[in-house]
Amino acid sequence: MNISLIQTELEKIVGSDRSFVDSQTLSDYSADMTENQPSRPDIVVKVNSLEEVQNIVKIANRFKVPLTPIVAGTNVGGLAIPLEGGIVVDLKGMNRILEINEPDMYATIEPGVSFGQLKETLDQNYPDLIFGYPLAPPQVSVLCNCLMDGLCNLSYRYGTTSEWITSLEAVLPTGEIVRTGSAALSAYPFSRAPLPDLTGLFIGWQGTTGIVTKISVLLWPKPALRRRLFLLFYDLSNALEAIRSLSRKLVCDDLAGLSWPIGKMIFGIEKPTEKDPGEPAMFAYIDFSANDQAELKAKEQIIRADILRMKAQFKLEGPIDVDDLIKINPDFSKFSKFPMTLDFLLDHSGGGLTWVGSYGPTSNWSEAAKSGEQILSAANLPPTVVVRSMKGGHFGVLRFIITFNKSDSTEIELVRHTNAKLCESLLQFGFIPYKAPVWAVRQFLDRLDPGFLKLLRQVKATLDPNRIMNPGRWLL
Amino acid sequence: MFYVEEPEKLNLIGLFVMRILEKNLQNPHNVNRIKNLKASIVINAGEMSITLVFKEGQVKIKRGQVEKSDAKIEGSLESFLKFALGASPIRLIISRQIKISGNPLLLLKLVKLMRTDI
Repeated sequence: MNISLIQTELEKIVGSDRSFVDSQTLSDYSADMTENQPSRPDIVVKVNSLEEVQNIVKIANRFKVPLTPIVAGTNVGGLAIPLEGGIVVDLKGMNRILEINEPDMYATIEPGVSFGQLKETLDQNYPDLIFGYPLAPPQVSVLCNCLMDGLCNLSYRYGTTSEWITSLEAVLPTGEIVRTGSAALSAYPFSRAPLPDLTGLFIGWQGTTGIVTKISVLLWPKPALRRRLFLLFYDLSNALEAIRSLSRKLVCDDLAGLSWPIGKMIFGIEKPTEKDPGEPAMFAYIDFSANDQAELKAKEQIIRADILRMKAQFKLEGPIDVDDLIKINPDFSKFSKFPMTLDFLLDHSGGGLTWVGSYGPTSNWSEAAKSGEQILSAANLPPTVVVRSMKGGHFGVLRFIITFNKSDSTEIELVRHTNAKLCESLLQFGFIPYKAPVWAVRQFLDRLDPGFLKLLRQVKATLDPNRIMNPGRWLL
Repeated sequence: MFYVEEPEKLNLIGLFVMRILEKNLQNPHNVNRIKNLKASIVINAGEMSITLVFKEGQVKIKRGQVEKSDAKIEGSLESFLKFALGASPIRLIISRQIKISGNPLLLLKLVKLMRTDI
């Protein structure tokens, strides 16, 4: 790889001020907050337009040099680490909200548009519309979250955010531009249907099939009223059964459970490893919204009736309004605002954050969650579990979170070992990791349906004959 | 003014009380209230217990309950939170959401210290 020649070519596109080969910049782009092995790029370029992306891809394809796209770099799977070096394309500068179509309720945005930015724009100019917000900092890229099958506070209602993509624009590894969804034929990117769904060629592929430069996503009507209630459960299985039960009432916007260590982290306890035997095992929050007070009251009645039924069967506390919890501990306001910044997971002395996140059948939630808790406790790590009901309760999120000290190699090894065990356990219970890091893919690759794997490789080879796009991801 | 031994071992009710005291003991009136207080008060919320030990103008929050306390307040975590948020203690007692025992004067002091609405 002739780096200086490639650099000269790239500078012709973006100029010398947006092309970097200095040691500090390369180091900054070689690692993230996770335990994943760092890998250094050879060049970093910051792009501002579709044309720049297209020209860079053409150069990479000509020189057969790897390309790794990145936006915020806040994913928790090492997904933007350039595994085989080459060029990192930083898309943060492409941060325009290109269109918000109020009557048809969609937005067309560039990769650098963050959840915070989209919310601010909607709040200021389109107060009747909302997007969803993940449990992530406001600077997270909306496009990346959507392309990586992410989830948000409306995923119980509407599924993963990838399902909200109506159309996209991508630069293929060979430099051609493609528009998918209804945008392939219409000036209105309103839906993926009814054309053949080529959008899927870029969803969940972790940037191995091209660089997506634009997506259109669904926006939703903003309800006039919203409430968040908390429930506290003394038994994990009861909590999960309660979430499953409430899911079937179809009156909520979001249903989630957080295990006891998170409850303590809100109070500033960095590494809670000891649980009082009498302490609640999980707290769940229930979001619901309405157009008016009557609808809100009716929904609350349905929720309260189900809670009352549960109280006859097992011990639980609540419902407690989040506003009441805020009065006691203002830090609970982190649970009342969107986007929800759970800074205690990010801003701690060790600096490291990782997880094994998965989607799976809620019929196995309890067993899988308990197994994960045991694995974490055996490693003397806080059994931090997050669950979330998805798409009307048809499936669920099960996520195990670990915060760790990034400068402690022994701890990093422990984290790697524990994550591998957690992943194995989840697979046993039928759960599938989302935003899967390479190590997780390695763990389940040979269990994939052979026909699926063959097709995956054929699609990759067809779209990316020179294997330049994020090589190594998905072990492709 | 107040301290917690090994906060990482404190249970949820202890952490709630810690936050409430943190705020309320910024008020000089409340500081005066505990100035000459020497007592231990047990709070049983749900299945969790803590003991507040008042001594020499300080209050220590301990997980669990001491064998011999001067006063005790018992109820669900929910009831305790209601109490902290301003629900009438008399009403909570009459409706049996909260049970009290021991020195009533101590409990009266606790009301002032534990409320978020005062």
